[in-house]
Amino acid sequence: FLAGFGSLMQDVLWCFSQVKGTIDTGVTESDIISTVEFNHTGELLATGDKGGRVVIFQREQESKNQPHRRGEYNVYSTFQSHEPEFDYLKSLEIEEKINKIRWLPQQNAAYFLLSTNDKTVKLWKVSERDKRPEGYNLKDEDGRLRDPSMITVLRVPVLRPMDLMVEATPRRVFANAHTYHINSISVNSDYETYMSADDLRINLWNFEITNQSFNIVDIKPANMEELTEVITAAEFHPHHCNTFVYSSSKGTIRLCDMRTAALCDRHAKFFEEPEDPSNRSFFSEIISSISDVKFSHSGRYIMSRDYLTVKVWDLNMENRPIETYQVHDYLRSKLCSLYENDCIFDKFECVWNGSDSVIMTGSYNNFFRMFDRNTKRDVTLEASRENSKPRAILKPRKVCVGGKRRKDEISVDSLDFSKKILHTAWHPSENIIAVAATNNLYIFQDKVN
Amino acid sequence: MFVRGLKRKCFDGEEDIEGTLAGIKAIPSYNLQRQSLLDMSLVKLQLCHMLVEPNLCRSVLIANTVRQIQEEMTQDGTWQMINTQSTGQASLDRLVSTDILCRSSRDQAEGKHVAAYSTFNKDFESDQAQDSSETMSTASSVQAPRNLQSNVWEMENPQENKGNFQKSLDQIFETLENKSPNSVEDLFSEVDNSYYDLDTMLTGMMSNTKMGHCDSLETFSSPTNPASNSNCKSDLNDLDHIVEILVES
Repeated sequence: FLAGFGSLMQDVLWCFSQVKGTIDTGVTESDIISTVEFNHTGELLATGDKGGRVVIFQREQESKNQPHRRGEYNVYSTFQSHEPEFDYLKSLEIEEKINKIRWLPQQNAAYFLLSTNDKTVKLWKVSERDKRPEGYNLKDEDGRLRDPSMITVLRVPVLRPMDLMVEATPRRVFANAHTYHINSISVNSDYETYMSADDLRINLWNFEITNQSFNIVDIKPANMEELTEVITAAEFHPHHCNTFVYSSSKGTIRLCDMRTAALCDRHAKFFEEPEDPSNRSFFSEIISSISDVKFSHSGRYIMSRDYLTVKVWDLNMENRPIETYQVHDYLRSKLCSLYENDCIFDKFECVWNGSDSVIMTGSYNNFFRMFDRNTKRDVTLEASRENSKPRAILKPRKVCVGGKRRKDEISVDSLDFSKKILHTAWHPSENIIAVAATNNLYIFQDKVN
Repeated sequence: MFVRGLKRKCFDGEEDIEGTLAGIKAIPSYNLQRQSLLDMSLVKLQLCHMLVEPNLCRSVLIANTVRQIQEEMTQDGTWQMINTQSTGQASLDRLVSTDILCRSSRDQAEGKHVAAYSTFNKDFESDQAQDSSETMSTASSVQAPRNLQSNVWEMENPQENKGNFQKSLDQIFETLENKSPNSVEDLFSEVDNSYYDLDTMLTGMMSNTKMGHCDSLETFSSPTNPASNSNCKSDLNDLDHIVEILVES
């Protein structure tokens, strides 16, 4: 990875690389991708969908024969992580939709990931098998037991090569700890614990223990009638295993230190930007609700996404963000309609690139936006089948806000609000991004000269 | 399709006549927008009860919006104005009464009083009680006024109805049957006012809403003649129709 590569927006041209998923115009609901995540090396890319399935793609080795085909991602493993359930006590269906996937750092030949739906977190082990033992004494090749009295000769079983098989097995199931819907999971930097956050509570787990978890945040009021704020996202600090942040529906971020108390209801830091009185409306609170919060790789900054903006906060400054980027400010005058059709409640995620110099988030009409923190340039790109020729360079898109619409621009009223990019992921060290557009996964790479 | 977003107007204290006139002209349209936002929010809150699992974050945000509007309307004094207008009352009436549908099946099985009045303030509650006593005697007691919020959050055990409106109605009718008596009159005497509102609410909702997922609403309301939105008290004809359904089910 070249230092500084990707930090100069004008030098980066994004190209289409691959798209996964069907082209059918009618989308099966269960195929809608609900989470995307690269593992720590970028070798693997996992997606979860509404049908409870996880699909893992693996990057193929780069070949010297085809230098411009930089490591394509191919399906490595597919498995059903969660099934729909029924809570008989509450008369409630529990959706199998995968809300989040988080990878554990690799410690041996197998890969481990956490996947969660609304109620249950599971630890999956994904491992390869390319040899199998042959020549058992007590079993024949089909596995049937042999009659011991018929055995006259003993042999030593040997390992013979077989076609590569990738198996996914559930190693742990962390259930029954959440009354409300889980929105986040985060692996701690100690690699021994992780947290799961729902609307009102955050629990700390040890990977080895499934029948117990520690409650570390609880914002449920004694009287539910007084509930006015929920937890929307949470994440551990990338290096300090005692520190984590969680965001709320009121646009606040709290940083907590687990060393201070067992129950971290009192924050160590409180990040909130004072409201701009000139922009006040009945929708102010809704659009301030934070849908995603992410630490930078360095651990020095936090990024938060609310409905119209992405903000970067310095951990040392609580009273306002150091940077604010407008994602789609042209929607500010359309908030009433967006409230009516519920789009105002869409939860967009945001991601950092490997060097923390560029941030990315999604929008409507299958647009996604990137902001270069150094040059202050930004670009709008589109994930669509029309721009999907191999290595085709993505053309920047522009939304026209009133006035004369130029040829390539699209007017606000023509935007398709059913095509929303909620989930994106950035390779940990290279300029490779994965963008989930409903049931399709797009992979874009920067242009190789 | 897009409507301009609502902005809170800043009413400054000048007593300038022209300003006041201009202000008066501006006020109705702002109030209308605000009222429509309130109505929309109430419908959203109640619809989210009907879904399989209400999204708590969304519900909280909508409830907070309702509270904001409520507070502003109380400050403006327009809240009292709304109460005295029959159309306003009707709209709140019909939206408020959908709370019945939001009772968990467990509550209903326990024989809890099915009709719960959720109100914004006590004044409204007493007005409504007066009106209802004019048309028929309400044998059942009126629950103490509860905040709107309580309806939303009490649903820690929301009912499993898979968004099927028809099923919730069935549950209500079933409860009525279980509670009771053999004769239709007895059965009916326990039914309080809110069921009329239910009917009006249904027809009212059908004419108002564009929401596509209420398909079962349409099937239910088609046999009845839609009552006018402003009239929150159904005819006896509609009453008979409800009885018919009860008896047949």
